[in-house]
Amino acid sequence: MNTQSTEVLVIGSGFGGAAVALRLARSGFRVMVIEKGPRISVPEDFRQTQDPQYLLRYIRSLHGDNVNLTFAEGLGGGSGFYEMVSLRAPSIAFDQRTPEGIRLWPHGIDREIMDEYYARAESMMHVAQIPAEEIPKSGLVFALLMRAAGCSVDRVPYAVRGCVGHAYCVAGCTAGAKVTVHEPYLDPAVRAGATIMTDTEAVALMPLDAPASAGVRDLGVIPCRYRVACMSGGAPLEIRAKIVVLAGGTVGSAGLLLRSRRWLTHLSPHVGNNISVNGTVKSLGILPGDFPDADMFTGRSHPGVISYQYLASRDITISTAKPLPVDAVSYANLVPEGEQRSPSTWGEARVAMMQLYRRRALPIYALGLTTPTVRLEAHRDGRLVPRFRLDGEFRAYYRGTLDLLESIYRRAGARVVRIRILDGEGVEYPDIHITTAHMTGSCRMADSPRHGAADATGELFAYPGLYVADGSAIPSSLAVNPYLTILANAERIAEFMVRWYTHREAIVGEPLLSAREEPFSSSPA
Amino acid sequence: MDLHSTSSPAGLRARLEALRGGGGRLRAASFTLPSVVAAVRMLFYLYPSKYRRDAGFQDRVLRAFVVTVIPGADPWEPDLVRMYHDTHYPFFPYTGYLAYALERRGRSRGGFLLLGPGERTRVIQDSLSSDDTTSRLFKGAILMAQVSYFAGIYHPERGCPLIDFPGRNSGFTREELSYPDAAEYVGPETTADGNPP
Repeated sequence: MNTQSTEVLVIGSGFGGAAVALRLARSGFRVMVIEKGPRISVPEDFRQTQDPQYLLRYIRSLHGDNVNLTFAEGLGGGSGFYEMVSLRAPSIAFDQRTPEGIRLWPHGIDREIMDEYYARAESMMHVAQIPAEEIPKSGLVFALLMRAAGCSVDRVPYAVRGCVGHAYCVAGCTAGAKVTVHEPYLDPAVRAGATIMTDTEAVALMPLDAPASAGVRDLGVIPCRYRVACMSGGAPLEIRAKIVVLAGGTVGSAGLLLRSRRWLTHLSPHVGNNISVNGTVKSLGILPGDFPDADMFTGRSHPGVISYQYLASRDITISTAKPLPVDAVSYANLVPEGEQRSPSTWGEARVAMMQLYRRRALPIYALGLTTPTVRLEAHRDGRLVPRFRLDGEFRAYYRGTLDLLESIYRRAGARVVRIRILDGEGVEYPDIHITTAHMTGSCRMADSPRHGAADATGELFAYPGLYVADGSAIPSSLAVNPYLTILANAERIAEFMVRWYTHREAIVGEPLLSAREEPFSSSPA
Repeated sequence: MDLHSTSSPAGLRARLEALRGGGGRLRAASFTLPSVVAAVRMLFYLYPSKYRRDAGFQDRVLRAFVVTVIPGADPWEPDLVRMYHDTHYPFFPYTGYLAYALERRGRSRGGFLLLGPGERTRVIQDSLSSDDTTSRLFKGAILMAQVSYFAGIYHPERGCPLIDFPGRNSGFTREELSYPDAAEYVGPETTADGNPP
């Protein structure tokens, strides 16, 4: 078997992995990045198409009874296919607590601390607030709808330069306008000496017998502490590393750890648990006759505006979206309130709905600070199945939020359309069903092993040198798109690692460093 | 990883996977007699061979099906039924049986091809509420037709004129993208930079 060794192995090349790879490579660390998906050259490999053959090459999903988790596999991870919405999480997101009153985020991490890292991430991703004159029609009509319902809206910051508005953001921007992690992070990481291997999947992670290294800061002294069994282009490969950074996403990182549990005997029981779905609730309405046309098929995928009207009172943000036809026909039955249903899924009724959908429909959705409710169930054959704990609290949140969204349509004189989400067989789910790409928290950071899988620096409890730096480390819902928080947190973790392993004294978030001086627990409580 | 939150190909993937696997899902639809009979016929090609081998006949039946599912679709569109033969998608093993099932279900009036639009609609409705195997076959066939036609997967440059989906483009003019006086739509904002407090 081919065996390689490195100082730092980063598993995953999305927002979390890219930031860590760049910062560590620039600091002189020997960094290797492996990515399960294929190499993607931006924008040459992107296509303006709705062809499932293309979309499903990069987009993956896990299906559970009440939840679908969607994620991307390919160089750059989700950054090739996101909507460029670049929002800082609200202050109240960092103050969320468990039902027992335990703060979800570790002590010392709040919006004020994160603002420095948000600013760094925004600078790297060229984030700028959209000028009013670039807001697509659907965003303007959403603003009109919200104002008719007595709500304010704000213009959204995006990671985009020179948007031409061709509407295929989520298929990958062929105009090269969307900022992905390739240019600001991955390319300079390679120039700084990092190596990147695509089509390389980590299948198992094993600790090596090595002298105790907790608290040791000299990489020259630290031996290789982990070996990672991979499949690279169909051939087995083993990589040994002193530091391993998990950045395969909320599903990928937890999945690797769960599949490696037999070797990671002290692995936290929190791994694979505590996943938040960002309180996603979706609704659709037909605009009243006196409203101008919205437009589902032109302009950027996320239409430019968001409402914080109910953030303080209900912990939610409200925005709009523009799913292209392939999503509209495969995702749900669309049933206007009070209308005869059959055969609304096909025939003239469906054609009429799709024609209405083009200019007279407007989706709105809420994202909210809901508690973690999903766990990943690992099967013996390696499959992961998400299980949603649909408790009374979530049901009440979902029902209340959906009622609110529908009331907004009604206050503005719009007609509500019921979204009946379909299962694989094309049958409507009988219960709440959440489809999200905003899952976080499967290896969440916490103040102690009793409450999470990793400490505030992203290092897994009981496993020195093993870090999480992606969405899996984020302990809570955020009520906004999570990428900027994932990236900012990865910047924070990378900064800590650089300072820790290079013996620099001053560090932002000093309490984190002093916490690190304490001996590691040998096993999670 | 952060993709678009409100729409995703997750549902599409689930529905394509449900059709995939050599009939795995359709075969296991249920164990009622009609369902098992339909599955055995479909998977072991126990139906007249002309529905598989007479490409012209099969094509006419499938076109009649698609224009019933999508009224207004151009019946002469060259790629109207291409998705049923496309080996990249999971439906192709069932295409012959779909043509057979359509004709058989319309045989009281001489076959599906001879039916009027209303009668064809009823045949499809009846099939959707028939045994599990037949119902799932028809749901899959409808999904494939809608994905292919509305999303314009074989003609990305054209999109779908029926629903005014413009397809591939090099971007739109400012007039096409937005309205004049956009700031008036937005109104007073609550933040300085768009971020929540």
